[in-house]
Amino acid sequence: MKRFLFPVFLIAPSLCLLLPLSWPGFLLPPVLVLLLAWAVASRGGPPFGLVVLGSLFVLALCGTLIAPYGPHQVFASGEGHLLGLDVVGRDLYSRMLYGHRNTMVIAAAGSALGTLIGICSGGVISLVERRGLRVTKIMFQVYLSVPPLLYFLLGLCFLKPGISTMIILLGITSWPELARLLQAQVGYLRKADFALAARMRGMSEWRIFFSEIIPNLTHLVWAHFLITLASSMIMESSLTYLGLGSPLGTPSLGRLLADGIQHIEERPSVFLIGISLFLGWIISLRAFIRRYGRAHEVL
Amino acid sequence: MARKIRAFFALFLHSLLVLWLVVTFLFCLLAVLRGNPISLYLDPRLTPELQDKLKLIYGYDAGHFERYVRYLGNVATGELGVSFVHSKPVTRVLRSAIGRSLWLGSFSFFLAVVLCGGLLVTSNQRGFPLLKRFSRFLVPVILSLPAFTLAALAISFLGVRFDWFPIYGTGSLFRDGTSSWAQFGDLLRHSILPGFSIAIPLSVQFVAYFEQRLENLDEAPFVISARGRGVSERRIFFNHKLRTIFPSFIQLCGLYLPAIICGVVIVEAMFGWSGFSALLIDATMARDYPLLMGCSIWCAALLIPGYELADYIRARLGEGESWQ
Repeated sequence: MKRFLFPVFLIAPSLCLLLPLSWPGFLLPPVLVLLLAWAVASRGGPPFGLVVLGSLFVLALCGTLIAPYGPHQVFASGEGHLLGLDVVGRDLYSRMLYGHRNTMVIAAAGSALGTLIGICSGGVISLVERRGLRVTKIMFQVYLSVPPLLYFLLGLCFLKPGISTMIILLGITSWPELARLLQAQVGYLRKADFALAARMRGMSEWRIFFSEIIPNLTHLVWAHFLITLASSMIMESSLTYLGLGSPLGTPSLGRLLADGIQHIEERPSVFLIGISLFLGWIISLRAFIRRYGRAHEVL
Repeated sequence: MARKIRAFFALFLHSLLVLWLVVTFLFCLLAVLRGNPISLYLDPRLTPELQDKLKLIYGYDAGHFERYVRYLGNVATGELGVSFVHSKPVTRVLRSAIGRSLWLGSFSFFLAVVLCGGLLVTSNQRGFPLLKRFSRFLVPVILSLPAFTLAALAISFLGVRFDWFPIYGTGSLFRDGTSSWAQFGDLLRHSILPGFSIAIPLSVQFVAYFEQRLENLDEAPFVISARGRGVSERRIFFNHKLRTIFPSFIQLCGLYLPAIICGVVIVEAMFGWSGFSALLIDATMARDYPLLMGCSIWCAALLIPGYELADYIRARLGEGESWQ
C-alpha cells in the first residue's frame, strides 16, 4: 500500500503543474488521486462504481487538454462545433469540459477543506472532558439550526464571489457532521481494549489519540469525504444555476445544465450530456460509498 | 402524563436556549464581519448630524453591546428591526411572505407523503412487480438529481410546451374580485408544478428510508411470530410493520417539514413564488442585513423545535426497539 502511494505523491504535484489550475485547483489532483489509488489498492477488483468514477476523474483531469477552444472564445457561427454555441456564442463542448473540471475542483477542494476542519474540531472536542460534551452538543445545535443555504447567502454577502469563496463556503458548511461522527467514534474507541492496553503501557492521552485512535478513523473520514463530495457537487450546481455560485461566465456543470434546459427543444444533446455527467458522478459515488461502507463497517 | 408534560416543558426551554444562542451567534457574526451595517447604506456626502439622525431612526446609534441587548429585547417581543430595502419593519415584510411559503411547504409535504405512501403500499404488495422494479431503478436516479433539474424540466415541458399549468407566481393577475373558491383553485393550479418539483425528490427520500426500515423489520420477533401463526403477508404489512414505522414518520415530519418551509429556496426562486426565498435572495443581493437576520431567526425558530421533537421521538423509539 505504502509502496503504491509513494509514486502517487510524486505524480500528484506534477499533475498540478501540468494543468492550468488556480490556487484551489492544486488540492484536487492529490485528493482525488490519493482517493483513487487507495481505493484500488484496498479492494480486490475494480467494481462498477469505481470504473465509472475513474473514467470521470480522468475526464475532469485531462478534459481541458482535449478541449478544442477556450471557454470564453466567442464565435459567429455554430458550424463545425460539436454541441453548438451558447447564447453568447461560446463553444458548448469546450465549456462542458472546462465546467466539468471547475465543478470537480470546487466540490473536491470544498469537501477536502470541510473534512480537514471536521477532523481538527472533532479531535479537539473529543479530547475535552465529559463536562465539555454538553457545551459542544449545544454548539453544534446552534450551528445546525441555521440551514446551510443561509450560510451560503450570508457568506456571499461578506465575501467576494468566486471559486475560492465557493470552496470556503462549502468547507465551512460541511464540517459539523464529521466532527459529530468523530466525537462519537473517538468516545467509543477510547474505551476499547487496545486503548486501555496502551494506557496501561503508560502512554499519554494525546499519544493514544494519534497513534492508536486516528488510524481507526480513516475509513470513516474517507466515507464522509465521498458523501460530502457528492453533496457539494449538487450544492455548487444548484447555486450556480440560481446565479449565486461561481461568477457569471465561469463554466460549470450547473451552468451547462441551465444552458441545456434552455435549448432542450432544439439541442437536447447538451442537456443529456450534462445530466449524464452529473448522474454518472453521483450514482457511481453513491455505489462506491455503499460498497466501501459495507466493506469497512462504517456508516 | 406528568412525565410527558415535564419532558415537553424541558424541550421548550432547551429550544428557547438554543434560539437565544443562535440570535447571539448571528449578531456576533454580523458585528465581526460588518461592524455597524447601516454604514454601508449611508451616503458619505450626508452631514454627520443627518447620519446620526438616520442611525437613530434605524436603531444603530449605540455600541455593539447596547444594540445587542436592545435587539434581544425586540426579538423577545417579535420585533426584528427595520428592513433597509423595504423601509418597513422586518416582521411585517416576513409576515406577508411566510404565509405563502408555509402553504407551498405544507402542500408539497402532503404530496410527498401521499406519493411515498402510495409507492410503499403498492410496491410491497404482490401483483406489482413492475412497479417495484421501476421504483428500484428510479429511486437512486431521482436521489442523485439536483433540486432544480426536475423543476426546470417541469417548466420546459408541462408549463411551456404543453401549457398545462402556470409556471410563474402565486396566482393570476386578474383573480381579485373572484369568489374565494375560485381564488383557492387558482392558488392550487399555481402550486402544482412547484409542489411536485419539491415533493417528488422528497418522497423518494422517504421511500428509500422506509424501505430500509421495512427490510430490517423482516427479522423482528413479532413479524416472525405473526408469520408462524399463519397471518397473511398483507396483514403483517398493514397491521404490524406499518404500525411500527409510524413513529418514525412523525420523526421525519419534525426533521423535514420545517426544513422544507425554509429550504425550498431554489424551487421557489425558479417558479417566481413570492415567498420566503424571494425575500432571502433579495436580501442577499441588496445586502439588507436586518432582513437577512430576520429570515435566519425565523428559520431557526422553525427548525429548532422540529429537531428537538425528532430527537425526543428518536429517544423514545430507541427505548421501544430494544429487540434490535
